[in-house]
Amino acid sequence: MSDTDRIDVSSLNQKLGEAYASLRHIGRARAITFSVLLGVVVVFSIWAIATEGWDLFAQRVVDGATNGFIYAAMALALVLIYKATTVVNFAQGEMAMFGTFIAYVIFHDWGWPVGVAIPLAMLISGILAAGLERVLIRPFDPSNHLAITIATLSLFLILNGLAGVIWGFDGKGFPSPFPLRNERFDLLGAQVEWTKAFIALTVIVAVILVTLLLNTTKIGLAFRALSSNLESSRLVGVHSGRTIQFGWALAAAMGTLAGCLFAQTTAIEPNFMGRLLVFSFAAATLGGLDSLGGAVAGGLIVGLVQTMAGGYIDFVGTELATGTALLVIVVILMVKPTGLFGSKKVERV
Amino acid sequence: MALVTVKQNSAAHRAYVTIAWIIGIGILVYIPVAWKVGFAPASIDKGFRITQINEVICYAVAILGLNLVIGYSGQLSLGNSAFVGLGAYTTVILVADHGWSYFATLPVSAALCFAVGLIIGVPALRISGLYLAIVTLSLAFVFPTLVLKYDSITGGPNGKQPGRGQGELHPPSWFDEADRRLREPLWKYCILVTMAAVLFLAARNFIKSRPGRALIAVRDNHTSAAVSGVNLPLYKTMAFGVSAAYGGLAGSMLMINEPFASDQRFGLQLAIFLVVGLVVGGAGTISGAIPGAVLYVFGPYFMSQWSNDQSGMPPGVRQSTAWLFDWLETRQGKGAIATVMFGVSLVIFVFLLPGGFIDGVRRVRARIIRVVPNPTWLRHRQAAAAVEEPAVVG
Repeated sequence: MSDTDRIDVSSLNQKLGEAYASLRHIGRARAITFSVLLGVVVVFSIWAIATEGWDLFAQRVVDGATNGFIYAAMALALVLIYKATTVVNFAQGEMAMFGTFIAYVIFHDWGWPVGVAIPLAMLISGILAAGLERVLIRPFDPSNHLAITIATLSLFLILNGLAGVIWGFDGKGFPSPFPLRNERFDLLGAQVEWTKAFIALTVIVAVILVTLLLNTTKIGLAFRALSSNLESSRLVGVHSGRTIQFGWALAAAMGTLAGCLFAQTTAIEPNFMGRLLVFSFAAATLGGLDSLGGAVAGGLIVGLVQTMAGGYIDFVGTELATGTALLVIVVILMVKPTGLFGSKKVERV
Repeated sequence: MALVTVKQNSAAHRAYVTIAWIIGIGILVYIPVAWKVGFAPASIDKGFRITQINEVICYAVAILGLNLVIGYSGQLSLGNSAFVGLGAYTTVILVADHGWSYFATLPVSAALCFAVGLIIGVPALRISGLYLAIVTLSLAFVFPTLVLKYDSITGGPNGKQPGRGQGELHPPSWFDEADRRLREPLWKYCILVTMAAVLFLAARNFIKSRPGRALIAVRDNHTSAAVSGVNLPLYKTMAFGVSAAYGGLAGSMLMINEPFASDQRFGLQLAIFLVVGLVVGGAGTISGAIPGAVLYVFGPYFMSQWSNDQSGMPPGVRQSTAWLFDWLETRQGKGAIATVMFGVSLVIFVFLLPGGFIDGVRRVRARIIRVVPNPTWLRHRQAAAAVEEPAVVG
């Protein structure tokens, strides 16, 4: 046996130690949680492919994921407002609906191209949301969460009614900003509509842009400081009012984008965001209310569970698909009470 | 400063409390009589208005139940509409399919909702705050889908109601009422008001007892409550259970009032409005449930009345808003203005009274009358001192 063939015990030990240390770094509980989740997913996938074949499975994954991306965009908007004010904005869906209608007006009544109408509507809804924050949210004591929640619920009613008065309750078709409408391409056996692929791409780009905005700009830094500790960031000179306003504007723009993307799959009318809001609430909670990446992951999981459970389990069907998705969320939250990626809170007496 | 200051348990204080009780009970008796005699505008069906008042009583019980879990134990549970629905369906199904009487279904629906509430309370031990709020809100979202899924027993989208002659509540012969149309609503008012009074007193005593104080300790700081020896899991799940039982009884009471259950009635909208009613009435107060329920029943109703016909509005408001309604006549979705008006008035209300209606009433009351605590142990000590004093001097 030559010298080189001999197993170097000390270096192996060191490597094992490193591996163990990195496992410790991830956290044993987290590692167990994720491996259990992964195991369930793998077993389900194998069972699903075995029963109804690969093509249907791939198709359902693609469908679920595209829904998931839309939920993710909306969940992202919720997370932005939660990070800024630690309240959940119940009016987020209606703000997005209003923004979508603004885009519709710019396209339909002014005759501008859709590709311009959507960014312009995002800008307008951002400005409107900044105004709403100033008038409706800032006057309240930030610690009176119940009053702020009621204020957002009132905003929900006002925007919903206002849209009804202005635009009526008939469904309207929203134009597509993407090329290759009604065309499909083949992805590993699944037929994917180009529109849906573009929706997913848009959401990914938007998430990257928002992350860059928060991580590289000065106002982004202020925003992150504020969401980590309101009092301390005030002490070091962050203008909390303006920064929260920025959060609302960003969230509204994001919501309008989500609304316009969701409008690609359905007709728009004042109540069209209602269902989406419940799913995006669920997605944001699942990912952790203060995690941007978690919102995307949560959206994808909710979309996939909905499609998979509804498609493969006869008992669930279409009626209970949502219920199943929400049940999965409860189970995951039982294990991780602050969502998959949410930060833990330290409590003191 | 208050105009009058009275000592707790002094003769003046007792008189004040007695008068307040008499006025309160007087109002409860007066309401149906007022609508009956003709306080209601002639154009409105009086029986319908009394039915609406009955509805206020039922929703007040539901909001009271929600208050036990949100206002007193501090857990944001938004899914109580599901329990109201569960109670309502329990009652309707037992009456319509199994021939029970309404009153026999009450313990069943309370027990069933209590059990389900305990089960829902278990995840709430791990999940808290807004996470819990959203999880429970999804319960409210799922309930109508379950109703539609099991349409063979719930009637699905057509709703469910007892057939003719099943479990009808006829007023007894001694219940004298000349107007036949008013007989049944008035009799139901008597039943519901009695039930609600018992439930309100029970809630008040529950809050003032040892478990109630434990709940409040959990709300204010659950770590310190646990350190002081409060069994957190027990009290948290119990708050959920009791709250759910109240919700279920409210659902059964709604069915006594109007025996018709549908998935639309117990959905997300009810869940949200119960919370709105809770906050508007006043979180953490027993009596706040009543103004909250009044708001839920009459707020949207009058707003939509006014959006169709402005003659019922207060005169000054009518003239100054005429242009708005003239403009609305040209719009297709003009009915939606009711939602806008309700939302705006809600915002104004929350601005003026962020602590709720009862909080506002208490602040006004504090300017007029102030009750100085005079606990028994203090009086005993004073009495003992008065006895001992001469001995020291002598």
